[in-house]
Amino acid sequence: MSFFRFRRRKDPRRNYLNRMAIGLGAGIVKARDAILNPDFGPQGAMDVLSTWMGQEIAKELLNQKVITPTSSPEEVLEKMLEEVRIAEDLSVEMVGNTAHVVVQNCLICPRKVGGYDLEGYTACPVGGLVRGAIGLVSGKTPQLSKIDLKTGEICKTDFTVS
Amino acid sequence: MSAESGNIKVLCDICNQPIEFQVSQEKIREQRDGILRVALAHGDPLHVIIVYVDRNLRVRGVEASDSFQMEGERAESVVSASEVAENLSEAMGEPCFQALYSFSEIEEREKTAFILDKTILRTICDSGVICLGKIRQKVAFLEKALGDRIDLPQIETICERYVQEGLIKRI
Repeated sequence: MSFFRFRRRKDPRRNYLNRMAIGLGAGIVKARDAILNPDFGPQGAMDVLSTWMGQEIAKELLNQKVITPTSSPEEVLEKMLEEVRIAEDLSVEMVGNTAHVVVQNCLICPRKVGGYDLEGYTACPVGGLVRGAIGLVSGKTPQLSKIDLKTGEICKTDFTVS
Repeated sequence: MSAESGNIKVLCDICNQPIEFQVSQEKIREQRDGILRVALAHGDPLHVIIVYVDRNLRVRGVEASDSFQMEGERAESVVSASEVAENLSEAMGEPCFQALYSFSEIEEREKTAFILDKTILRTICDSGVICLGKIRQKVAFLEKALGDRIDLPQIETICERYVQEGLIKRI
């Protein structure tokens, strides 16, 4: 017989996975009727769930004082990239109120990184993460005006915060 | 035609046919807001346009609906105050949007659009013509799913983008 007991203190640096799981759980419950709708599809379900995950990550960034409620959208994205490492290369170009986000060498692509056959669908969480995180910090919901996904290559997302 | 009435001709967006009808100044004067709403059912299959006419007998707007239902026998060509007319006249003063494609025609192009945008576009495509307030009603279920309030300016911004992209038109 063997017995293992693992006891670990809460480690803020490792809290992002916990936060994503919290967001995922809350999102599944809140969106349970909507995501079962066939019109939603995998990307729609991912948009909704990743919005909740983005909010939770932003809460953790605020808790750890990595960002503040006055942080700009670029700063929120930069810190999220630094802490959660969603991609090796993420650029943000602001033109007026519109941010053009380009993600290269994504580290969370279910197809390229995960190696799963997505059967022609996409399930990218970047749009939802951006919307959820920036919406929570700024108090204004960004409009995702363009999402162009080339899974595992270059994905572009435009959003506007007004 | 009496001096107190006038003939008006409009083009139906659904069948592209010119529709002519007569309105009386007296009837327009009876309207509290000075705008007479005339519902014209015509064509085969039967569809409806609602024409908004002002005191100067100018057409202020035309809305079309191809989803027309009526209880009982088919009426003559002019349907007054039908349920469809009431529903569409709720849109008075509010922007309305008309789909230029069916959703299946543009689904592939919009495959990766954010779910809110895609749901708004699908709602417009499924409705033919719909006003902003009705779109908001139909996408309200997403508020709980996204944990966020979806307000009219947000919906209008998304609709305007689709207008610019040529997928819908503002009427």
